[in-house]
Amino acid sequence: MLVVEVKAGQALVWSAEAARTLRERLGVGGRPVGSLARGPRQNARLGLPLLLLPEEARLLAEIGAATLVTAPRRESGPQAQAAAAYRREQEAGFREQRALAAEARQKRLKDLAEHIARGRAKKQRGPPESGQGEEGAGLQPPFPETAMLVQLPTARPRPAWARPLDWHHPSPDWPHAGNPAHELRYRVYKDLWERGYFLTSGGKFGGDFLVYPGDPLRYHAHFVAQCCAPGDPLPLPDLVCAGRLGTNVRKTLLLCSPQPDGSVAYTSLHWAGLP
Amino acid sequence: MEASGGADGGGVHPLLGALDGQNNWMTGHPQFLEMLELDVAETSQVYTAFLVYLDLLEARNWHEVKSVGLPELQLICLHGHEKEGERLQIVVPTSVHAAFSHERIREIMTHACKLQVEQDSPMSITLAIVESDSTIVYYKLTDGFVMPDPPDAAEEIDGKQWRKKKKLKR
Repeated sequence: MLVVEVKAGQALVWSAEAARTLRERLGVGGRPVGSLARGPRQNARLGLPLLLLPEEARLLAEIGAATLVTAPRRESGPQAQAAAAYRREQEAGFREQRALAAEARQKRLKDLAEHIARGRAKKQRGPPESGQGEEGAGLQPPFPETAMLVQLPTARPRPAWARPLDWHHPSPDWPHAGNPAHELRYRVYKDLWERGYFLTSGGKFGGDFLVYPGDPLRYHAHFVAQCCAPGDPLPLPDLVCAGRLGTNVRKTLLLCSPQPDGSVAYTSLHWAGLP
Repeated sequence: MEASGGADGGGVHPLLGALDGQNNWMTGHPQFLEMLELDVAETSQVYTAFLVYLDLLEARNWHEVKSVGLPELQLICLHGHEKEGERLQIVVPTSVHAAFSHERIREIMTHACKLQVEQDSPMSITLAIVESDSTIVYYKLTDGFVMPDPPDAAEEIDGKQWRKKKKLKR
């Protein structure tokens, strides 16, 4: 079972294995949003984690392909404790690293002792110089705090406290449940997904979803899906706008309305370039 | 002008209302009168439909354009052939300000396509959206999924156009 971590309405997939299964077996793409902490613009393509649309996450939960989990919100007390513990751990690490660095320097000096002695003898034969070397060898090597190595965990360093999320009811971590816009989009998403289409978010062309016949890396989108309740007002200028854009980018605008009987009605819109 | 049109004309188009007295060829056009006699829609809708009728026949050279009333929806639609012998197309004229919803679109489609001859092809209508300056844009609405043109074909056409442009430049 795949794990989807949910926080404040955002569903994330952290495992590479899971991301691959989603894409190849389930036809759910998500959107990679991860980057290096210090290089958010390093690559044109972002990496893990995958950010799933609320509809994608709910579909996975509903078909039993994934568990949505969420971490309980922590109070400030334990959090301050954890921060103090983290700081203590870091200080201990720094002392340890400083000792190790000093030891390494001593060892290196010892290894080079013969070489140094030779060099010194050579110098004494030359013009006499003040003997600073003797004192230098005994000094503590400088080890600034900025040189300290810090371990950044790439997996959860502590045992997980995540618990399954109840996505049937709205909660701070899953505000989508019961939201009419989400329910509308979800019914359309699910119907199109069941027809075998691969969907991504449609923001690029002003629709709700972009509908691909397969993996978006291999195909152009065929449709720009726009979800509307059957009775929602549909101003004609908007329709003209969406239809014209769709024609320009060679996609069909698809009006999608869930029907009371559970099906979804689709209407394709094309600019009829009458000669 | 607008005041007088509104006062005595009810749903009469302001322009037509104003010109009523002065032997306006439009309001006397047999097709316009025929559409009025269908008695399914108010005058402004008839006017819109008539503009589309003229555009189809005179600007786009359609064949055998006929007006058909849809009393259930209080709508006039036009049946015609883009080219002689081609399949019948159903055009639904509408003003750009008309209130629409997906439900209404599907209603129109079902009613208008009842008369369609080929039952196996998907329901399809062409919406003729008329602006107040009588600009008309045509949008084809089809039930279900219609594949867009493949991008390869598009590139070919673009290439041809590009060559044409290049030729013209020389």
